[in-house]
Amino acid sequence: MRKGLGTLGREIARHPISRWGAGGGLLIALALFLPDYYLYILALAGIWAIAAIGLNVLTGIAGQISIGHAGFMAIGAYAVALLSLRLGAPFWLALPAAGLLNGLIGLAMGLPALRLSGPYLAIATLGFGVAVVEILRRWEPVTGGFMGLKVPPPALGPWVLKSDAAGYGLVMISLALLTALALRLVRSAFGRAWIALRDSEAAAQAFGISLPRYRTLAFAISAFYAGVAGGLLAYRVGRVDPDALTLSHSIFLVTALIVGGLASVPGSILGAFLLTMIFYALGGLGGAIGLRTEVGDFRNILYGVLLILTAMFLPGGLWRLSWALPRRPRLLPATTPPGEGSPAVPGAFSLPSTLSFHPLRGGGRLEIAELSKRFGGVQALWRVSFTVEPGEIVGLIGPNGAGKTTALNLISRFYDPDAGRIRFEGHDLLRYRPHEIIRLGIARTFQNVEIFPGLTVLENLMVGQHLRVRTGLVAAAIGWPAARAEERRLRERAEEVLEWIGLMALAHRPAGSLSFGQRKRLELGRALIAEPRLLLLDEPAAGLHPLEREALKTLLRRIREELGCFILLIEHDMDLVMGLCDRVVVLNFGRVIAQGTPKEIAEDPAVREAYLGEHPAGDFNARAAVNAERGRG
Amino acid sequence: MDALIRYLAGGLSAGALYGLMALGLVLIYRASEVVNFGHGDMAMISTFVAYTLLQARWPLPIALLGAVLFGALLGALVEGGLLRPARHRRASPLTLVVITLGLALVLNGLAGFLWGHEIRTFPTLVSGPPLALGPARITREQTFNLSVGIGLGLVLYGFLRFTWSGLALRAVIQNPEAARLVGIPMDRIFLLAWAMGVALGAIAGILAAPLIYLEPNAMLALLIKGFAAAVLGGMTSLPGAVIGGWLLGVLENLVAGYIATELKTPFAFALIVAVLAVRPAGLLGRPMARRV
Repeated sequence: MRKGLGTLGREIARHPISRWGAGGGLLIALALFLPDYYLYILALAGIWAIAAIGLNVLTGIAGQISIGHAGFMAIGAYAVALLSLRLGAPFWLALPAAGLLNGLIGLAMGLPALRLSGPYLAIATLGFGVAVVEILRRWEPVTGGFMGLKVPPPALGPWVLKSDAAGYGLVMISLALLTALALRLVRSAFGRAWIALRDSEAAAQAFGISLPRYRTLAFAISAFYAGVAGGLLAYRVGRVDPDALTLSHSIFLVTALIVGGLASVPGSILGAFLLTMIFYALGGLGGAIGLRTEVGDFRNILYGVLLILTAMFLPGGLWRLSWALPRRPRLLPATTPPGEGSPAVPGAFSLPSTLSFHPLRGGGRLEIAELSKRFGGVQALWRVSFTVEPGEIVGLIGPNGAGKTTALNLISRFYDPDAGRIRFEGHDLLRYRPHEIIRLGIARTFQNVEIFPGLTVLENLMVGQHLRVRTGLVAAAIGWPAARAEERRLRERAEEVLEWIGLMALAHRPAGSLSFGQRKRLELGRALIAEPRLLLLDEPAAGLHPLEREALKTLLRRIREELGCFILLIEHDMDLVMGLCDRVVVLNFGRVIAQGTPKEIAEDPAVREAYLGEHPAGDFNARAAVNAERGRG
Repeated sequence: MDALIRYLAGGLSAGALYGLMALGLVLIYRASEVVNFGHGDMAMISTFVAYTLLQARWPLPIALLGAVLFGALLGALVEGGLLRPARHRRASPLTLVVITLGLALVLNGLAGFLWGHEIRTFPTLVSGPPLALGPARITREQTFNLSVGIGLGLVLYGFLRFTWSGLALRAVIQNPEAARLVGIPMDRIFLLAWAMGVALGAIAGILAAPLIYLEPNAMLALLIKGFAAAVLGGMTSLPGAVIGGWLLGVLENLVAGYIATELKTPFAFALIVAVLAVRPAGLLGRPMARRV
């Protein structure tokens, strides 16, 4: 009985409602007992926390840094000021309006900068933040120039929220609301898509995630949060001026994010509160000993040192120090060690029933014609032509550097060919972008196993079903019942496939903690759960044990027979290729030197030449065995 | 007409400084794949060193040389002392960028501590009557800055083209993996790129200081224009950086002259976004092949 009560108590303590209740109680208690000055500082900390949560969606989750978010806060602040001064808008209209305005600016600016990888967003946002300050200073008729604008206090009907306690309450309610939305969003299909793009752009796109769309969305959301935070700041301080939100504030936000804990919503809040406290504590101290100007410089040095030290030595930030706390509820306690001994190929005899059978269509074929691709001085492919007919397993072989992976990457549309055509089931693939290929029914694996290490094993398989996601951004953020039902369906299918690939016990582990063999299994599972009609496999047998290779052979046959999925595979293991493939295409130095049945290939003199080089007398099979041996290492 | 010539000349000489800034940024980015957001503050602090040496009555050339060497040393120290250990700890590109941001903060605070926030005038390096170019007059300073920009560009070209270190640096820029495989000492090349890059920034800062005033935040505009020039040139191309600098200088001078002076920095930002939208590879950059 006592034990039962204990469990019940623990369950109540763990329930989200009790957690939020406890947090709310604490905040109300603080409001009752703390002096006004501290409430003012806490409100400011809450405002920075809101901005930090937004920036975290962009930087921690989507992996892109912004050095100009104070610019968005400034626009939010001025928007709120102008809306209340000129139109008399109430705060509950002005704040979301400021956020939405920023979201739109974010879309317009993020699209060009985020279409590209690399440092472009950081550079563009740096310029943005500084440009906003300049414009606010000079656009005097609207912004009041250097003097800025006075902002009337927010009012709710007849009540004017002028006191520090009321301001504190408004900020904390907004913070709670925006935290809840961010937490939901980060765990939704959107959060998974952002993390997938962050961890592997190529694999994320191959599973249908549009890079420009999702990156820009993350940027717009972070701009929205910054806008609301800026608006709240305007209300709290009572005025806005151009120098209130500058580059140093943008860097302050980045510091809060990194010190608190990248990619963690509570970490962002922790960082913002901590740094705001340090800010005012140092300010108070400096004022007390009469060193007003030096305090600012000392702050900069301290923040800079904190930033560098956390980035180098504590990449998860302070929040990581709370490792002892359970980070996510685990459905299954992973008591057994992560199945190191289990084979890298699913051993179960039948494929998961959740995967559906595609009847082998008569017209469906992959047709590659006269495909050429050049990288600088290297002709990677030269007028390559071959086909994969429905129901076939075709092997693409050739020595290292022959252009095999380039061919796959052209089919996946990661590269544009210099010349030639790629058609699949009558579609001209060259008219599609990388994230649209999966929609046509083509899924793939990668030579260097591109899983999403930052997502759990289960979530990796949910990303594999990205095409099935119908939930919109708002529905995901507020946790609409239909959105939850969809999540449940995705999870159930993922669990079924997990069971089949033998990784169920590891479902809630980060995929980055898997062993090589487990990663390969996960990657194959992720490709299958997308239910492709054509599967592109890049060296599926590399690194596998001979017994696992046998199992893989059986598995690939079953995939063809039971799912109606045809396969193009790159492989160095000649036994596997010869035993499995209906036809083989041999590439050497970017050219097709032979194609035909395995038997024809084995006897082809050109192939022998390419593989054996100067030893034409050698035995092809012996050489193949050597190759297979190498592939294993 | 003479207004136009004046704008062009002023644009080209200012553009030479943006080009120097951009050259340093691109050199560092191409070699070590780090965007140095501390570049402006590194230039600022090097300029303060020049200022202090001049105050201590060092001869002009030696003071300037000392400051540029200080910049080179600072760059090498940042790479060798901070970024290399971080890289060895498998830091992500994001972490490396964050470290340069932290550095910007530290240097900015340090400058405030050591030199204060009051605005200081930096002595002009050259003086003399302006030169006549048709109906317009061009100051000695403008010709000097432009020739330093061109001269340094040529020196850098010669270094990359004709010395072993230059060849190794180009190899690292073009194909880091292959460069490592053939035994090029990567760490030393990174060090070299950082030393040269920050030294170029220091020169840009020293040349810009007489035109603006010197204080801890003085080089922010120069940094943003350096970035704009680099993006305009393609972010990956050294000649592109120089040409991007000139183009930016001339364009912003035309905007300032015919529309409004206040719009210089917003214009640089607008140019960055416009280039990214229309021609992300810039003027001379090649579209970067994605590694899959």
